[in-house]
Amino acid sequence: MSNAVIGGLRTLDSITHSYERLTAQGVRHVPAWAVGLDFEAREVVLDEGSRLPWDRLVLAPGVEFDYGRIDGTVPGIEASWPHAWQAGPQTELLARQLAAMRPGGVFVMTIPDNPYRCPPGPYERASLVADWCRQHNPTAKILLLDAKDSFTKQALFEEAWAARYPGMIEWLGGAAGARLTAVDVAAGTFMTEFDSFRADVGNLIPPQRAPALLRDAGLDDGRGWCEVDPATCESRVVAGVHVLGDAINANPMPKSAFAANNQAKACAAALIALLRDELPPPVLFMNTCYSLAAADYGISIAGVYRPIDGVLTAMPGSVGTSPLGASAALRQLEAQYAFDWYTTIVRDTFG
Amino acid sequence: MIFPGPERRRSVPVRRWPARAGWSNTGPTIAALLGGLTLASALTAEPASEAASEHAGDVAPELLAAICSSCHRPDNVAMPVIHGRPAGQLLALLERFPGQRDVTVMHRLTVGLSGRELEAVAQRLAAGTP
Repeated sequence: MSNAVIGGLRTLDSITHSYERLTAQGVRHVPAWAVGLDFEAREVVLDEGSRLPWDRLVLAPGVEFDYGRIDGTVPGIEASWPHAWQAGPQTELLARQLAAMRPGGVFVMTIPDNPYRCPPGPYERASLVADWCRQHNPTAKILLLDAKDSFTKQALFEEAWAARYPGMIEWLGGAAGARLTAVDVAAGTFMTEFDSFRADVGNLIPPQRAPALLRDAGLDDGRGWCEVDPATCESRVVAGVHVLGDAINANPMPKSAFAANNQAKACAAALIALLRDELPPPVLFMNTCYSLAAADYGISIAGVYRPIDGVLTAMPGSVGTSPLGASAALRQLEAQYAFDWYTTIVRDTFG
Repeated sequence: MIFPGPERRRSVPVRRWPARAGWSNTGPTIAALLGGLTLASALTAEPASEAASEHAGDVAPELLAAICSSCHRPDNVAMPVIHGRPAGQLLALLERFPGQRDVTVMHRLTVGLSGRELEAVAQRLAAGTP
């Protein structure tokens, strides 16, 4: 939903939520950073020096941004080129940069290879940036430099772009040499395998991985993402430690908010059983991910997944997207569903 | 030691779970959903300790209803309200979705559930709020 803030459809305040309702329900909120995991003592080490003991530990830390594979990136690069891939001050900064872009300017977004948080997110963002430009900066261009050769909901996005923003969005894929290799922040230049591009507004979305807290503790087994038993989200590396959300390899499920929410519910069901020394129950996961191609133009992808013989498996016939060539009414309905879904998932998550 | 090395991590005991009594009775329903490719493995999987998490049984209606509530709430603007509707009406809707074309996601989400799970979740949704 932070893409809607960049596109001027929502305010950052409207997507900012507190833990108040959760603490009112008896959830203890400790405002501190976890800086270490002591598996021997079964304790989380906090930055202010204290420790929290666990019987079972659940980690849902999100992602860490990995600039290491791009030459020329410097600390603080986000002040010039916000990734805005973690909603907050960078979201507003990117919105301000877009609003201040010169007439006919070029908005350059670089998109990493899979896997990363919210696979359709870059293309939704491109759509909503184009929607804003259509109204306020109609000669602007949006250039997408993608490490991938194809992307999720591609045909649907391209159909929407042709209908709503003809000629405004240009997508270059990995096969066209568009993988980002280096940057020159001072010159405002993105270097790809084949070319270099000057940006008026730069939105570098870096490659991602599980955060250092988990990797330093070996929970990713050196692979960048954490492997878990899909039936319980229990780590394959350390017993009694559960990891869920964007930090795990949940293939074939995407790193979506819906997936993380469903992992949390399955994990909770497993924890209740495990803490009683009972066998964890059968679980399944659903995913539904709405993207906005405009405020009144929604598209979706959905699927159902079950752990089968320890492997997360898509149920046959369940995974697919909205149809191509659908009516304006269906696109509008799915946009309304997208906003409804956001309201619901916030209430579901924050009480 | 805050960050034990691999050899230390292995010293943490891995929990082994006993076989779940009667689990294989519920296997074929889900196996049938999966089709021939995985039918054999779902039917013959041993409920041994290593396979503790490898159920193919029905998912509890409470968890299924919680999954429904990831989208559906009584105060939705456009998303249909499902909580508190008669179970028979809900089940009829759910059973009609697979194969339909003019729907957005429910034809995909219902195809991944067994008939028994659809029936149980309809009962659960009819009974309560999210």
